[in-house]
Amino acid sequence: MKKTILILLILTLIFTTACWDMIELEDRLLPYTVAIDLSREDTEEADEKELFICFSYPNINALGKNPTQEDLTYIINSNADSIFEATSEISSRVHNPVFLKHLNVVVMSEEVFSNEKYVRQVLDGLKRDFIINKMIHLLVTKESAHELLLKKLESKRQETIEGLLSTLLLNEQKSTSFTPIRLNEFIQYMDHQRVAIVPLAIPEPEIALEGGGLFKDYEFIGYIEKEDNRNIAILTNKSNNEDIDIEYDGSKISLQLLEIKAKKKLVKNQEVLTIKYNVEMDAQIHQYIIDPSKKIDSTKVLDDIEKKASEVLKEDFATTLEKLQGELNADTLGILEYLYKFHPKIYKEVEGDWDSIFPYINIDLDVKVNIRRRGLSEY
Amino acid sequence: MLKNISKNIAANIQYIKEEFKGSDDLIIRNIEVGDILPIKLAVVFIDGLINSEYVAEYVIGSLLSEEELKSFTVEGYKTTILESIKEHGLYSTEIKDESQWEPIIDAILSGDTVLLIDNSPTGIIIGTRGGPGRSVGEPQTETVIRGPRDGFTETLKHNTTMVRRRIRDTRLNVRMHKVGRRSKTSVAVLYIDDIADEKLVNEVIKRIEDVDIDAILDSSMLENLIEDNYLSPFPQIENTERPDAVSASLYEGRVALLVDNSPFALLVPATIGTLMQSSEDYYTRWIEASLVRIFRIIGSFLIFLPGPLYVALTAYHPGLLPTKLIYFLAASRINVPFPAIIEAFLMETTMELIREAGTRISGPIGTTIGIVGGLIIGQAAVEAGIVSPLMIIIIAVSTIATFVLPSYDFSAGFRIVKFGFYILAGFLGLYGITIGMILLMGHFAKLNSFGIPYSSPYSGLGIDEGDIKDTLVKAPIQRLWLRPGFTHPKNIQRMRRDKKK
Amino acid sequence: MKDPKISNIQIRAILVSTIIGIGILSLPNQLATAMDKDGWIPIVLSGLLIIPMIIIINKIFEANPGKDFFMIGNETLGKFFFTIILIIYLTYYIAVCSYISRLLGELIKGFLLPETPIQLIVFLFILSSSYVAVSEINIIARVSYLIYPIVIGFGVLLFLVSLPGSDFTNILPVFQSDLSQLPEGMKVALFSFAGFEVLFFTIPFVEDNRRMTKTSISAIVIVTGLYLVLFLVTLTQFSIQQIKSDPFPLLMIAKLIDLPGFFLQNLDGLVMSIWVAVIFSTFTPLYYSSGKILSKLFKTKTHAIFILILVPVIYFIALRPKSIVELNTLMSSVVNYLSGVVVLIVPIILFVVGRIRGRNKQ
Repeated sequence: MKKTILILLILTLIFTTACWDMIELEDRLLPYTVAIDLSREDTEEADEKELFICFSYPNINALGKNPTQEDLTYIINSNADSIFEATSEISSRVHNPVFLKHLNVVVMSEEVFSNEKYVRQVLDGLKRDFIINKMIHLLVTKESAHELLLKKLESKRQETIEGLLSTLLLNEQKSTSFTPIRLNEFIQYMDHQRVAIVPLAIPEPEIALEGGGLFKDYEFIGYIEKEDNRNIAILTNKSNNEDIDIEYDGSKISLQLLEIKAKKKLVKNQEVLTIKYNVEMDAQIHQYIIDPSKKIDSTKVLDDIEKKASEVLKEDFATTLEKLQGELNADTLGILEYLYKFHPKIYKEVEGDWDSIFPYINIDLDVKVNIRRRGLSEY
Repeated sequence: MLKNISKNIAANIQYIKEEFKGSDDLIIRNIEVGDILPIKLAVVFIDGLINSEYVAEYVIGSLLSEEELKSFTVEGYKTTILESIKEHGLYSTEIKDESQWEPIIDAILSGDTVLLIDNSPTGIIIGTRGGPGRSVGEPQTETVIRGPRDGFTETLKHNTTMVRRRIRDTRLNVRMHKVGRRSKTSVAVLYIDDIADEKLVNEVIKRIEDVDIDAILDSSMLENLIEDNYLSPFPQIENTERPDAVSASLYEGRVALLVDNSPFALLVPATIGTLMQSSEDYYTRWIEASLVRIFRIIGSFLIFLPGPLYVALTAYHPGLLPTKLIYFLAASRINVPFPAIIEAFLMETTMELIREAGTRISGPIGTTIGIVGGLIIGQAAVEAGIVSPLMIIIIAVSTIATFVLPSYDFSAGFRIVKFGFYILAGFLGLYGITIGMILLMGHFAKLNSFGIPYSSPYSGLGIDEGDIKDTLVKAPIQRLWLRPGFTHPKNIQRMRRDKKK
Repeated sequence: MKDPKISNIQIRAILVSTIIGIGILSLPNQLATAMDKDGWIPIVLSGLLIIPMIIIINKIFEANPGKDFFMIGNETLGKFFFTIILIIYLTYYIAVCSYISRLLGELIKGFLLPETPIQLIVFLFILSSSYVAVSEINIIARVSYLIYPIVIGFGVLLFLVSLPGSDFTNILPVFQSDLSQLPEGMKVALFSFAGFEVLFFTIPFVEDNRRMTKTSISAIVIVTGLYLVLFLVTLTQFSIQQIKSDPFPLLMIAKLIDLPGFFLQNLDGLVMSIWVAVIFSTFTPLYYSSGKILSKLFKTKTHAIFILILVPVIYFIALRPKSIVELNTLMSSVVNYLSGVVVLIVPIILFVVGRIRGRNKQ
């Protein structure tokens, strides 16, 4: 009897008060991309400007078996201090509440990300929120971010349901012209090596991702080219598949690089801190030239090509390293992290003034290319 | 009410007529035997309950034609008439003396024939039960692809026979009880003496004796009366139509109850483990049987989880599904005017109606209802945009899953629980479902079947004995050298343990 | 058939699922705060420290065969002192229960039901536990065993799904932390082992007493292993600074899961609901124990009525703290101090006094 009374009590309790959280799926706005610019509205101090936040979300009326509308994507924007504030501001204008769980790309424009304060604010907002996915991708763009979204609308050909940007980011890449980074990874990099690269979105002539913006302690320090990005990716074991062209015997050879492995090692007992890089990879010849005189039929030829390729790569790497150690002074290779993990004693010595030590450390490169396959041709 | 029958046959006949005042189907056949000294005899039976050819030939026929009876003399008359009739006058196999009225009346009511003899204070009950009955046929509810095809009938005697044939062991006990003040239904308690746990047997017998009701029409009534927790949606007693399943259970140390007029035997104790077993498992190869067992367990979850999960995920936590899926789900729901919970209840109600209609009407109309209900209503509902296509798929899957469990009552339990889950999911989303799962688990843990934990072997009893080998999966028969431990059998060894693997 | 019996494997289940509970989500965070990357040292040390305690508890019952915790306590310590100890236990259990249910409410509200009032979430949880807690210990053991695979599966699942994205070099460097921080780390780790004192209420009902010590030690080993694995998984997923700044690193791991090829994404809700079951298996034995203590104090036959009385008590205490920050500082400090008494001091006192008395008798 007691039990029945209790059960009745619960049931009435539940039934008399409503279901608080029930919002039907089709009654939600489910944005997948958010673009963050600075507000156009004028304020006195540049630092206190509001953000101009722009969501793009799919039009579910245009999906499914019998679509009733054509436009795949809608865009809605708002002036607010944070993404969270923007959602509540927007919900006063649209009939559906905004639900951010499926947000998977954040694009920041230069005016936002070049200000450390905004970067920290935006990222904290994303991190603190219960709902937002911590695997959200970060992107930067030189132009205005919401125009990137608008531009995206025009190129309907490439539009997919999850949004062009996230598809581009998740695409299995043939070459590492950019390296996708997620919010969680970004924060982790900031903690581990203090430097992170956020891929750069280029709107013209077509939306593409190339290179990236370099952040150090949440502060923007400069852009890197896609070649640099590729080299960094190779040196940090992020890349598995690259294409390079080399000049050999007067013709071009296209090589596909596979199984790329880079190992770094501290060379002990040196005056200057010396890191030795051992980069080893397999290669496959993709294109040479039809010319019976130029056969790839002896190990010597292969050795020559390998040597040539190694040299080319080494040179490439050296240029990138020079840039990193020189003007950027950014340890994207994770050398500090490496020291912290494997040589804690040295780490403790250099930790304090790494910024002044990093430009002068000695990085030895040893590149080895092994050509395993030459394709379906004897020549 | 008289207790003993009198010596005067006329008085006896008068008494019987008085007792069966309203029964016009009572037949009293008066005969006289003996040329020298005629003896009045009365054969009493109820028309239709007896095997009339048998009575005519082996009772009345034999009495009238036996030479020994014709030549009675005065000396022998008083002392030996009863003996002579028993020894020489009856060709029938099953006879019993009886001088009390109550058993005699019971015997007449159960289809036996009673022979009353003038000047004798003792009547003879002759086993002549017969009358209409179904012949042994294939079980309707538990068909197998491979395995014996005989099923129980409504006749208790046939049913015990079918079990006996499979257990040719004197230790098989068949204890008869009468249940029902008016119906006086025979209930046979079957167990193997040196396997079944005494405590269990005594508990079963005690509960049967405690039953006080006027009539038992089917074993399911008895089941409800002796169950541990009759408020639970889940059955704590297993039922089967298959004699081979009963025999197998007896060999496992369980107790079987056969109820007259019911083709369903009851098996106790029942646990989640045993309710997921089907006798077919033992006739197919072990790998398939194991796979099927695992699918049954998955199926039992599929009965009650997909619908509530759909409600919880679409209405509460759209964040928990992959992005692509969620957009298409949203698109498929765009025209649905109801919230997911209403949509689900709508379809569930329709499905229950179709199911009920389909079971009540058998044959071609039943199939038509299935087609109309399943195909046309489903199709039309989606076309009309009242429900989303995914909802139809979910309802269909969970309905199919209900037929995967061998025990109908058990799957019906899950079906009932499903509505609770819908309510919880509709009000609290995933948290509600978790609370529901916790309560369900708690309920399973709290249930007992005749003192045996219902949740066995999944609740940590009997794992040592290897019950899991025959519940979660079905190990090869060579590996099942022990009886399951949950029944606490007196004799655990089932076969010689083979040393070589 | 009437007196409840528990099998050995059920004891293992009950121990594992009682110990692993509320602490598991925040353990990596607290350990990292205290010991940085060497947080695994306190886990191993506390595991090793708990094992003698387990043996002590077993010894107490071996010395007094056939008696339950209350009889032994009364005999060795005398009625007055033992009543005080029971009241400490009771306070501790009620505090822990309230802490657990409030934290659960906060997390459910945060992750799953942002608009639903926390009162309902907490109330429903306590109520559904009371459904099981009103029964005897053998039923609790069965429930624990049913949930046991979920508890283990919870750890294994987190480990497996985080494998693709983990960087095992993150565990390095080891032995770099300040050893003066060890007491702080030990305090955290020991608290995460609290709950094993449920043995006091279970051992008297065990079928096979001889293997009891072995079984309970194996349970501690399992728990230690699981804690270790989860701590290391957290390390491979995050930087140490992230772990320190994130109150519930394990939930974050669940949020990070993204295996599009496997159709697995956004598993945090699933993990949350599994975690509710894990918490339930911690909550129920404690709840049962507090009901049992009350019924002994008031000398009633069953404890069911006290379980129902405790529903509103736990509910109101749980909803006292204003915010989750206050909850953590207030409740966890109370709980931490009491747990020292309950977990370490009482068993030792019982053991030592029992020994001395036993010797005197001889």
